Amino acid sequence: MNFNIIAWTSWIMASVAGVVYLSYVMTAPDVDRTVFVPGPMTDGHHQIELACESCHGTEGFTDAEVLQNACIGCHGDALEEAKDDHPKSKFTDPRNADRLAVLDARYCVTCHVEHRPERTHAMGLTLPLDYCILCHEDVALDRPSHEGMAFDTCASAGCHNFHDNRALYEDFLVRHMDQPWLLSSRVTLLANFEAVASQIPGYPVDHYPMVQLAADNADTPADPGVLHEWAASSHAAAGVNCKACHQTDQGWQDSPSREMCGACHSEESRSFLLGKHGMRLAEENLLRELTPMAPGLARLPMKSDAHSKELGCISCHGAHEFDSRSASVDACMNCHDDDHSLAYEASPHAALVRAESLGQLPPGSGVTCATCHMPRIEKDYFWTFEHNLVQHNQSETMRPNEKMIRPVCQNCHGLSFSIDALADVELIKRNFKGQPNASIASVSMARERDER
Amino acid sequence: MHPIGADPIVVVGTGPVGIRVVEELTKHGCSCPCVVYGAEPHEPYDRVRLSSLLSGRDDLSDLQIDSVSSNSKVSVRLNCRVSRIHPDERAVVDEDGNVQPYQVLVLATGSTPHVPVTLSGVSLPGVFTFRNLGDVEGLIARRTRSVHTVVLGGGQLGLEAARAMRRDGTRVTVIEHNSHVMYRQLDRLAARMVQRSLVSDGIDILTNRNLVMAIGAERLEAVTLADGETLSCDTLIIATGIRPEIKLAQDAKLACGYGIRVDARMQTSNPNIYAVGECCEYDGQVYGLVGPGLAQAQIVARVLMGQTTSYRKPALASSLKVVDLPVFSLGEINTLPSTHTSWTWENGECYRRLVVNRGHVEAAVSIGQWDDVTQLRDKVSLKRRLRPWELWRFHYTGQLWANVSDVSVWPDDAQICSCNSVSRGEISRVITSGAKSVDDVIAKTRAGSTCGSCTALIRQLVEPESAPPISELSVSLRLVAMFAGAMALAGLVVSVPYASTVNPQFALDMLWTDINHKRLSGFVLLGVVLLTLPLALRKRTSIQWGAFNVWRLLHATIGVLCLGALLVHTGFRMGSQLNFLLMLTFLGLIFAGAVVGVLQSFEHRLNGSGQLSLRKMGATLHIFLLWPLPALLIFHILKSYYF
Repeated sequence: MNFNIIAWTSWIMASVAGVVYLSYVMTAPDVDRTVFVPGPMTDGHHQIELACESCHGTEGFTDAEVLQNACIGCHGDALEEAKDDHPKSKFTDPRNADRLAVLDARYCVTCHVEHRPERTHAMGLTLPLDYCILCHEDVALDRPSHEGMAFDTCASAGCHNFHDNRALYEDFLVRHMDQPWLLSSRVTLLANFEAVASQIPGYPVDHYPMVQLAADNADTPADPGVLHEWAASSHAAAGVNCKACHQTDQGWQDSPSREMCGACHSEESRSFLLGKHGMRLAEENLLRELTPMAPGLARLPMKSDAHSKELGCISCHGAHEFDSRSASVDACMNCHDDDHSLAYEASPHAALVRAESLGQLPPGSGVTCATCHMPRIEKDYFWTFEHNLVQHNQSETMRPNEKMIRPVCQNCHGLSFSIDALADVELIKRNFKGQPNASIASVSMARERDER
Repeated sequence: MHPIGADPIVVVGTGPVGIRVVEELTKHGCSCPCVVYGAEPHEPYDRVRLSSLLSGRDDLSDLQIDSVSSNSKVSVRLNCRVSRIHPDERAVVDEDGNVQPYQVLVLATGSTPHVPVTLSGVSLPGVFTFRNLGDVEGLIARRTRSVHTVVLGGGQLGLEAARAMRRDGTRVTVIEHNSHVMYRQLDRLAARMVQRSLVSDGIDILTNRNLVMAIGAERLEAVTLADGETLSCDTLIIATGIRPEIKLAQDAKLACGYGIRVDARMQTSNPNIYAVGECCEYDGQVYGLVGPGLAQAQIVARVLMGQTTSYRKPALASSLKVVDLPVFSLGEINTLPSTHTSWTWENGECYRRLVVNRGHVEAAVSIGQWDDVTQLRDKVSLKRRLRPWELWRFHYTGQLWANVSDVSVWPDDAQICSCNSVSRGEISRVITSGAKSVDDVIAKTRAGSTCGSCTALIRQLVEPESAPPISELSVSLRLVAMFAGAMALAGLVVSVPYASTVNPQFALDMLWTDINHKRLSGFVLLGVVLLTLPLALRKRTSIQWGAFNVWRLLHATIGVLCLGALLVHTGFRMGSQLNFLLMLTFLGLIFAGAVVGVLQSFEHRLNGSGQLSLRKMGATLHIFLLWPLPALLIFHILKSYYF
């Protein structure tokens, strides 16, 4: 046969095979679609890169609304919580039509485009850093102090954020500008589950009355070690027996599922699925199944022997001991291997933990990893009581780190000091051992303006 | 080496081979005197061109070989037949009884025409053989008077004689006892083309017929065929092959088979006696062509000068013109086993066939002009294989190698003149060292001095204006292709950085950040890419509108436009995954194309196989990289809408 015929035939066959293969990859459910990824994703989303549907929807040929809804689906609550300074409503306001024409901030993707590593800055921003100039070019007219400032420093100098300025707005600065670096009262929120359990809607207090159980009270025979661990746990203290977790509709389960934990700890479970540790399990958002997060998949430095661990409730809390103390430091250290984590042991915050455990300081004085990154926050129930829940979504107090000031830092530290400390990269690396070198001008500028 | 004493080197035979022995000895600086005996009364002449002389294409002066007469160390004894050799006394005796002692004796006695023993009446006036100048003189005299000439033997020599005799309107009939003419060299189809051409020239051909008798009272009047038919004729030329002239050797008790047996150093059974040319038999084979004879002459001269060398069996190849029809044959095409693969190509005017055994060409036949012939002969004698794609190309285009018609791009060692084994490199060297005309080159290298069929190639080399001249188009092509290559390379290594500030570069960034801009530039790019395809059609279909080099220049220019559109579309950012693959393919494709373009623009200047094969590789890569594009592009476009 003619060489050309063979060549053209093989080419057509190869091309058809390629088209068929790619069509399959594009449309089949639960297939690795990496081949279509136009670029690696940001640190925030890289874990769920393969769950294309979570943002692009399950139907093909979708429009911008689908993407927008996906963003809001995960981040909407946080934006609301942050009292977003540039909400969609600001741009849909007809008075701001001229600004909308410059920057269509109704859509998240105007500023945060995924898959574009070459132009992605901190916080997943894909605009040039001086984007504020688009609307605030004449800021110096109102505020002469801002005359001559470069527009790429607005957000990078520690003064402003686009969305979350809860700890940075002028009135707040003025109100707290005279705080000393260390406050007189220095405790964080304590667990109050026992006190409020009976009022929490849906908590099965009838099944599990708040009665301290001992090893003898176990409703299922078990290994003495296991019984001992359980008896010392807060589960035993809250009257939660073996079957509460292990007994399901399908009978006894040796390894209770995350859903079993979530049956009582629904808020913790919810925030866990929104955070970096649990986002791969949030099937409702992802619209497909992924394996649990493992340190090996992380972009932060992790301990080499931890790479294959899988993250779930018990990976940090243990199976029976459920010791929140060890979950708040030791569990973190099992995996995290960056400078900040490694410097913790020698930090003043760790010294407080030791002093607290020796009884030298009142409860709530110690500062663990979780104190800052998974802090207890007050969940308000109908203005009648507050439940001090652990926020399992780390990004609530991170990225940008000024988000940490009000719920965490200001429990013990003054505002000005907190702003300076969080702006000092080297200090953070040393895990706050020493005083900040950075000095953010915002507080003094607010003071000057206030005094005038 | 033979001690060079007082006695001369004696060469018997003034044919081209005998004379070549003396020439080679002189060339190697032999200090020993030479004596050359010639039985014919004529000055040495080029026997190969006798048919040209007979047809009137050449005159006698064209055939003269006068290279030895001017040499004082060489004495040429013409019209002086050597009648005996006394090997023990190391002497030869001529027909006048003169004794000539020799240091070394070289027999170049050639051959005599073979006259079938079954044929009677061959002594009648009007019956000729076709071997020497005497025969030709007789035939020239007959040519104008002959009414009907019969040529016995449809071999190469017979057909040439027939053609020459036909010149003055003489009726000519060729009788061949095989099923077709040139039976040893051609297959049936090739022979049919030759016969058709001969018939159209007015020559009758009778195949599968034999001649038994020449009839005539005082002179030839008719011939009788084996089946009883009688043809009246006045001239009969017997061209039924040759017999090596070995009588002298047999008398001297030298080992003889069909010819005088020689080893690879051309030495006979007597260490002081050598034999070359048509009279000798090497490895059971007598070569009736001039090429091997001249090569043997070279060998014997080197051996006598003490060099170590040995004769290699040549590829039995012949290129000739039969009735102005170029005919090439290599090997014995009719005797090969049927297990060999046969490749055929024909287009009505030309017919080419290769018989190939595992890549090695065992035999080849070609009718009509075929530029690959020289290179093919080289490949065969160097025992090189043909590549599968070369055979595919042959099957499809009739050409084994692209662009061989430009002789200046032939490899250095490709033979231009196979009679005298002169390579393209040798000729190029002579040209660089000052040869200004075809005659200069012929004088300095002897290329083209024997059969002259390669003078056209030499002209291409020596007179550049007959080679493709450099045109303004190729300068433009070079500039455009270089620009495209540089741009494609730049695209592979650098990319446009994104704006670092919203004012004022941000507007430019919209090209890459705004989906609508991206789609617009993408479809423009697709359109420009499609504009490059007509060149492929121009090449592969019968559309012949416009000059090809204009098309090529246009194609290259559109290639540059593609890069421009690509820059607008991507900023030369490579992307990842499918996009990365697409960019890599696309930029690689354009770069390969640019390389081809630049090399193409230098075609008139560069030579050697390096450039040729680089361009071929580039072109292959260019096409190869084009192939994944459709599938990649479809999904590149689709995914922009799907996700």
